[in-house]
Amino acid sequence: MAKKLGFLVNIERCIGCHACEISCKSFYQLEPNMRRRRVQELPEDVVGTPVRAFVSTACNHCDDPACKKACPVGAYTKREDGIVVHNQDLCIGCQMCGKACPYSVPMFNPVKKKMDKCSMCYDRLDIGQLPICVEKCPLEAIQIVDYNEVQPSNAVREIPTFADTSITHPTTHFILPKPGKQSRRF
Amino acid sequence: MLTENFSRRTFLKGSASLSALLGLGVASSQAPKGLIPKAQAKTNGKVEQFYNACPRNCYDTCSIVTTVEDGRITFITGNEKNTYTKGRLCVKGNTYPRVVYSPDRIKYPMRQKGRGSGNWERISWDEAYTIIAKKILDIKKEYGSTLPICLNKYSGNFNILNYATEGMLSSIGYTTRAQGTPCDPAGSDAQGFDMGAPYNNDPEQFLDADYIILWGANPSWTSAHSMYFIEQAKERGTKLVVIDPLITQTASKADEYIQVKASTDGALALGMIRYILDHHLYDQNWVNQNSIGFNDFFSYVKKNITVEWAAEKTGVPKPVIERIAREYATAKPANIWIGFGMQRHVNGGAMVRAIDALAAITGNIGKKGGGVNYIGEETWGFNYYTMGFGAPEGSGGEADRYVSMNNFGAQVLDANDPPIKMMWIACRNPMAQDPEPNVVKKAFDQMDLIVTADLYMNKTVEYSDIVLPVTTPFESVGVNVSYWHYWMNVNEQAIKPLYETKSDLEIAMGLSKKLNQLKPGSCTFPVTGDPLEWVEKELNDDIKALFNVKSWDDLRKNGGTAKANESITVAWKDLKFRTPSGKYEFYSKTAAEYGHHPLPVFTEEYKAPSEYPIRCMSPHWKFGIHSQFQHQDWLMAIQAHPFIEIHPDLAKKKSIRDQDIVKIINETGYMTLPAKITKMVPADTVVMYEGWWKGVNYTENFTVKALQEDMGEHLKGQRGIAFHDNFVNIEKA
Amino acid sequence: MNKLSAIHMEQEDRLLLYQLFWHYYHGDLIKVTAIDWANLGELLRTITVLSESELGNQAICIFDEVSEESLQTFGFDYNRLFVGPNRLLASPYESTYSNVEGNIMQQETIKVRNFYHYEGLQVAEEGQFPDDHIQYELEFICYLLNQNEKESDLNLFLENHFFKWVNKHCERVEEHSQNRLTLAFAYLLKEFLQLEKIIIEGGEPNVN
Repeated sequence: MAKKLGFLVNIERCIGCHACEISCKSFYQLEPNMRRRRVQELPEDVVGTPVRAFVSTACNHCDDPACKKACPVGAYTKREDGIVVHNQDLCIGCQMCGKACPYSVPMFNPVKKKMDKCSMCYDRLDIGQLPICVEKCPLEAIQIVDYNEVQPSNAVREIPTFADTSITHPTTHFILPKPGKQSRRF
Repeated sequence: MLTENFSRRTFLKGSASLSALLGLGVASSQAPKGLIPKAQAKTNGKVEQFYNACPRNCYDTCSIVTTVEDGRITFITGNEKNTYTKGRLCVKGNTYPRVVYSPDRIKYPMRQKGRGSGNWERISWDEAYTIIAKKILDIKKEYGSTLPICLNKYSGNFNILNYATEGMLSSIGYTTRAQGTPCDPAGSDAQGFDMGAPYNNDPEQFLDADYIILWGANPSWTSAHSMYFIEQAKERGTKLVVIDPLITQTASKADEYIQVKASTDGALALGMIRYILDHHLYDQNWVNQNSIGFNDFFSYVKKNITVEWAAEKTGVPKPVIERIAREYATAKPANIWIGFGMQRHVNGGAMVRAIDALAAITGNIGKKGGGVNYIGEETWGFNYYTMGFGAPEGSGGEADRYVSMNNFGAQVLDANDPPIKMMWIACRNPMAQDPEPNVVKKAFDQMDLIVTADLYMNKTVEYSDIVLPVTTPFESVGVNVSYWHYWMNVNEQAIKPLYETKSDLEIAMGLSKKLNQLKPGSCTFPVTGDPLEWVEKELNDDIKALFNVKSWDDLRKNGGTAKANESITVAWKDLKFRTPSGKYEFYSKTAAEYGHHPLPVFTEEYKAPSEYPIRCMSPHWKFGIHSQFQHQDWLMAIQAHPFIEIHPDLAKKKSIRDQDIVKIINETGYMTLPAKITKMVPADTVVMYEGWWKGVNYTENFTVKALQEDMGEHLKGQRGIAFHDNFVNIEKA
Repeated sequence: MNKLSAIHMEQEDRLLLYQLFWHYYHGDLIKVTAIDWANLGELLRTITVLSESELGNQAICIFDEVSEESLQTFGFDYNRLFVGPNRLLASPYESTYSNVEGNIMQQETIKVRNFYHYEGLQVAEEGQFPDDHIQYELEFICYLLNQNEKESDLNLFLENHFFKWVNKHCERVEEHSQNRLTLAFAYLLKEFLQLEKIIIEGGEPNVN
């Protein structure tokens, strides 16, 4: 059976440090404003009691990728293992994919005049290495899971701020933070 | 005539004709040589890896692996051989390629015409050394000593070889020194009185803890690698309690978060102690065998402290205090980590003593996975060879003179007999990071010469006469240890120093050479030396045995990082304390000698003045270490501007909405910045994170007074700064 | 300006100008006197294709009458733009324009290094000073320009490197210059670059 690789993001562990994002930027030498992985603040009341919570997302390597459908030059392919690959050599920079993606994942690189997005480091995976963000997260909060093999019982597919998953069927799953007890003065 | 020249022109001759036209003399510029015939043995595509050490003032002090292709860095990441950092860097460390290769680095020695004018001219190193050396010799002649020369150096780079700057100043005679630390002094003194020294357990032992209290510490932002162990422990069932006035990122991860009124943590600890004593949950054996003064302390608590009082004082409900006290006292081992922020109050030292006492009565000190962990210096026993050359013959004065780093501006202005006329600043940015920057600026105005060695333009460089360009860790040699974990990391030179940058050690040798040229015997610092030999001289037999390494070079060849042996990773394992009595001292005569109560008693917090009722805290920020990192554009792309956190209730009272520009003011100064409305802060407190932002003309210290902590003189020479006892008012701007 | 395709510039004039810019970015011209600036203006006037252009003429007029104040602030402004110690307002390194991160010592720098190596040259302190500082590129251009048989190499270097970024560099100088002389050099270099592009590429100037 073919693989269905996707990210599993443990929000309970995530400390919002952005090391995933910056290690990716450093490894791929992306320009300062390009972000293949994005750490975003969640609403303070996401678990009920007020907390600082962040979620790190990259390309969701959807089952039904809207970027692929929207691309007029066939620059997108979905590999057997589920990774959605963007071929920058074919890209004409028309930005249709970025508009089609419910998660606004593909970003326009104004220097290269092409779109740019996370590749799940497939070239690293192919030689047995982990994606940079997975390997470099200080909290080990990001994993790659073959969702055809495992369905983590504590994982969910939807979190606040995340677009309706029925459109493109993203493979990314999340482990939600558990609310702690709080004794506040006010 | 010109036409004639043109027709006969070859490359060099043509250049000469222009030279003649424009009156250019030979060697008219300091620019590098230019292009030369290519050396024969050039190989391209060569990939090498080097070990580096992050030398910033940080718990985590990471071991780094640097990939270099064709002599330039292509990737910087963590060293997997280090079990504490596990091959991963924090967000700041991941920006190092940008730190090295940003076009904005300071590249050449330069002199400013008119302090603060922005009119800089490029000078050669020789010119820089000459100007500085002449000034030093002039001062010595005029004042009969070098005491008018003041060094202000601290934590920008903790490479052991960077102590060469202190060594260089000692090698010209007796000088004035900015003494102390703005970091840990009150808490360190407190632990010094209680145990003889601050000494923490290996943070990898969070995994061995049954119960963890992070007390005013926010490792999610300041020690991400520790947070890994804490999260792991939590997942294995260890309870994580965070006590903090703010809902920090770490508090957000706690099983239980307890919001304490700022600066009343001592009352909370004493309330817990009262409950533990009342319910016989303390370790009678431990206190009998290992402490003195327990009965005095017991009496003090019985007489003066109740849980009700503690609840009233701290804002923590009585049942919560009781429950936490019981949980803490019955968990074995229970681990407390006291953050530096918690003690940045006028009663910070007393609060740390109370928390220490809580750990002591429950027998948690000396236990693997337990402890009352604050800071440690067990692995810092290097030779400090660079500092040992002594004053030259005929130096005036008898000893160095000290001014407090924590009230630097005022004390420099007050220094007379002789006055301070020259300043050397390295590894510091006092114009941004000191309290009362206006006073610091006045002190600068009094100087004849200000020399600053730095990587980037900042507020201090702006007010300097001469700036000296320094190397990044990747361009020089060194060795680093941490005040938290138990690893030693080598720092190799991975690339050539860019432009005309030099390390502090090379600068020390260069200045000594110039001084000795101008006046033989005027500086005892060696004038030449190979940094590889210098670094080997730092490792003595004790250090080598502790880390089980033969030499620096041996460690370089074998993984670049080594952990100290287990004999020291459990603090106070042998229960031989370094106090006068050799025991844990609830009753400390030393404390009394320094004017404190001998017992860990409650002392009152600083009270808000009526016109400035709002506390403004300035904790550390996740994208910076003091004034480093945040200004890099990779991080500016994530957060481009400072902001002030305000509770919705306070915001409503002041008619402030999210993103409104807010004026924050007190008698020391004011600034305006955008508001972030958030429940992460209590309604009587606002938060502005510490740091220095590119293009922003103020720092959080604009409203901070040089208010002293209660302790610090004993171990650090000077008291610290009560940064968090800063009271302000706010209004919509 | 519509007769540009017919432009011709003496090889020697081209060399003179490249050398002038090399001296400028080498930091040699900081202390030049007002009289010598005027002499330079006079010399440049003899290169009619330049002096008859709008920007070239503006630059030369600035050289003709350099005020005392301009002379005094010239070095400071030059350092603000190209040297430091503050953030460079008009970086003189190619890779800060061509590299997506705006870093120095990048792959783009190595391409310039390889070009030097191909011609049997290297930066004296290779690895210490980025190879693509404009003064090295100018020195390299002068070296190639001096040898007739290197014309195709020269044109390749100009098209793949020098032409690709120097116009942007000049625009940054124009934006941030606070001194007549640094402005004059930006005008002069920008105009010269246009002429060079026409000479090398033929046809209409490439305005990017």
